[in-house]
Amino acid sequence: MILEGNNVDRSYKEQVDVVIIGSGCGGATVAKQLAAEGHSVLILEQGGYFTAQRGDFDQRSDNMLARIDGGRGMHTSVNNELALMYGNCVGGASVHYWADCWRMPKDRCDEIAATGVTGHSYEELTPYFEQIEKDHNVHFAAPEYYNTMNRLFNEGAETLGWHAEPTPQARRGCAKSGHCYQGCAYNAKQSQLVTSVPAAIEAGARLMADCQVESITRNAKGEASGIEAVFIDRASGRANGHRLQVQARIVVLAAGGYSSAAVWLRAKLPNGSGQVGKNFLCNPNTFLYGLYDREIKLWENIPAATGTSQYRLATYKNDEYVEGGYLLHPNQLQPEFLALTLPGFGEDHRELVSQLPNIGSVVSWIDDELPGEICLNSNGDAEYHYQLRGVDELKARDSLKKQAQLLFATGAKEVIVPDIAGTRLHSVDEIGVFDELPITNGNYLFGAPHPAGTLRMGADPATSVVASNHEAHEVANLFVADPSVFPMQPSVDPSISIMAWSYVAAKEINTRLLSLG
Amino acid sequence: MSESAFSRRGFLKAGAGAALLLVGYQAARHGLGGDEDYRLLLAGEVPQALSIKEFAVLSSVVRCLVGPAQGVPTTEETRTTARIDRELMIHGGKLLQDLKDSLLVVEHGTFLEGYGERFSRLNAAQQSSFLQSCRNSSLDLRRQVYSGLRFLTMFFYYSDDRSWPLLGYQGPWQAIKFYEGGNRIENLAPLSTLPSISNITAKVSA
Repeated sequence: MILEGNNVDRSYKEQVDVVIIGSGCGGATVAKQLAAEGHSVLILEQGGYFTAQRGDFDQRSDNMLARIDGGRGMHTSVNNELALMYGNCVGGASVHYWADCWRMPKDRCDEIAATGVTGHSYEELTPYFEQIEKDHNVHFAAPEYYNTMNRLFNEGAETLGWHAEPTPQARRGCAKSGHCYQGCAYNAKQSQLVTSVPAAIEAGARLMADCQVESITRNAKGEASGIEAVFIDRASGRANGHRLQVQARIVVLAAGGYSSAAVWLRAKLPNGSGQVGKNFLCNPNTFLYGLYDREIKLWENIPAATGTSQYRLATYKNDEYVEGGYLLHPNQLQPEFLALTLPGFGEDHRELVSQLPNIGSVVSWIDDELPGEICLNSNGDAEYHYQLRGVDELKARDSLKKQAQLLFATGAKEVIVPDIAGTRLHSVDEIGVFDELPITNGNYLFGAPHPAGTLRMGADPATSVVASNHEAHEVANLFVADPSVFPMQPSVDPSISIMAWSYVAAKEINTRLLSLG
Repeated sequence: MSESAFSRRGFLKAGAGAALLLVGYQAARHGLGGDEDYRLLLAGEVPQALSIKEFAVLSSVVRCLVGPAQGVPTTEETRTTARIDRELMIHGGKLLQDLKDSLLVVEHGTFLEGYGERFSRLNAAQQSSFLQSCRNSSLDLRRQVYSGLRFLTMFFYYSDDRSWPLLGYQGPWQAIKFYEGGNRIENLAPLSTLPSISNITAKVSA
């Protein structure tokens, strides 16, 4: 059963075993597992329920950002340096993700284990990865799914002597529309909307959409005991006057890396460690454009059938940064976003825009280490404070150099930097410009698609928010299942890492429910 | 992270106060301009989130940023300003306030650069020159004004289907579906007539 806000004409009171806040990779996974164990499960999703069957995914960026994106595509960090990219719909951010499905690498699992986290080693996660890959049809794309930019990427990597490898994809029957970021109109992309959410519903879970949680309630012993929420009118984005109260034995916070810490802070839950909202990481994206003498049409077919993890780990010499610390992939943007992100205005911009089909692009996800912070402003709205700096800035600069090398190696006659100045390079000999180019303080807008860390996991309650069983150190029966718990970034696209960690959370919650009787 | 780890500039937030005060002084000194001065620039639109003045200034900014309409729809035809206004109405909060402050900086910041006239009364070349100076400014505030206005303008202009032939885009492949929480032209109150841009500028000059 899925109840949508527009069909709500009264307030509700519910009593369940488990209430889950959020329906993305974390919440949907936990819901599916616990419902299958026979527990009564209620999923609450702040955003709406949109489906391909109803024609909701109409491939218009304006409509789709308004439907499925947190902040409707307009949210930035306080300093305007990050464009926040996150989901606000049933299925969460997986509805607009690219479907890249990398396992969290063993080296990163080992690093996390070294921080004191237990139960999430690569060996312990492997059975979950295998199940997730099977359920989501993770595979390498066949050659016909490589668009021009994907093919150029491989050619460029070969020319430069880099190791390119196919990107694992979660798709079934892809229609090659190229509209992945706007939500798949063909149910081909294996988002949570078409995988774990229906599986959870099939197993007996219920879901209420357009439902914004205002507080997490606690009993006299301080244990989580439920939630209070309001239903949202989609047309206005405001509360529609009807409320929801849920009593639950277990509360699962899975609102995503941008929202869970904000829910925690609004609910005024204990924060003895002072770590709630801290340690905010986001994998900032750098990207460049290349202008070619041939058609590229970045917006066709699947985004990243290939890429290289050769530079995933940063290398150092005598403690000095040398290179790396990012993934490197072909980029994909829809035409309107491509037009938006090309620099300049007026006739200069129009001249660039008129060459849009001949523009290619490469993107990097920076494995950031120096965090920002999520906090609430005086209105109770979340604010995101983040500035690229230190070694992360060095990684970003190095990634731009590598991107320019690849674009020139594949025949780009010019490289266009999407910075405020609209810097252009005409030869690979000019990549030294990236050593000094202003890319902070609003001179460059980074995409920020992978928020993490703001309710981080750890053994010590003085330095972390949740324990290795995903339960809050200071609030019994409150579990967190989303990337907020990652002590560091997975260093790859996080989707199936979030799911695998949420399998661990579901197992721990099931154990708790059985012990509660 | 400590508050001092980096400056909390914000998109027109901390640090913008002094600049806005200076701009406000210039506005008071040279005259704020009443609604009657700005109504001519509305092209028949009725602002929802912005004031008449703000809507009019934004219309001028949008027209300048998109550039001359040669073979593409005008910003009046695409109702770009009205779509931004609707999005601001849904968003409210900080985005709306930042836009209001940005428009104040643009409209009256021209006096600080010696133009002797408000932005909305400058000719197209002067408007372009002023926005270029914001873009190239060493002041974070002015660059962020430029970036914020540019982002909204380009997104709402180029998400109009009629601009897509210019982009070489033949899609999309799905029928459009009206969304009640959307910000497309279909979500706006209908306009009966669209004044041509030459009529608007002629009226303002007069």
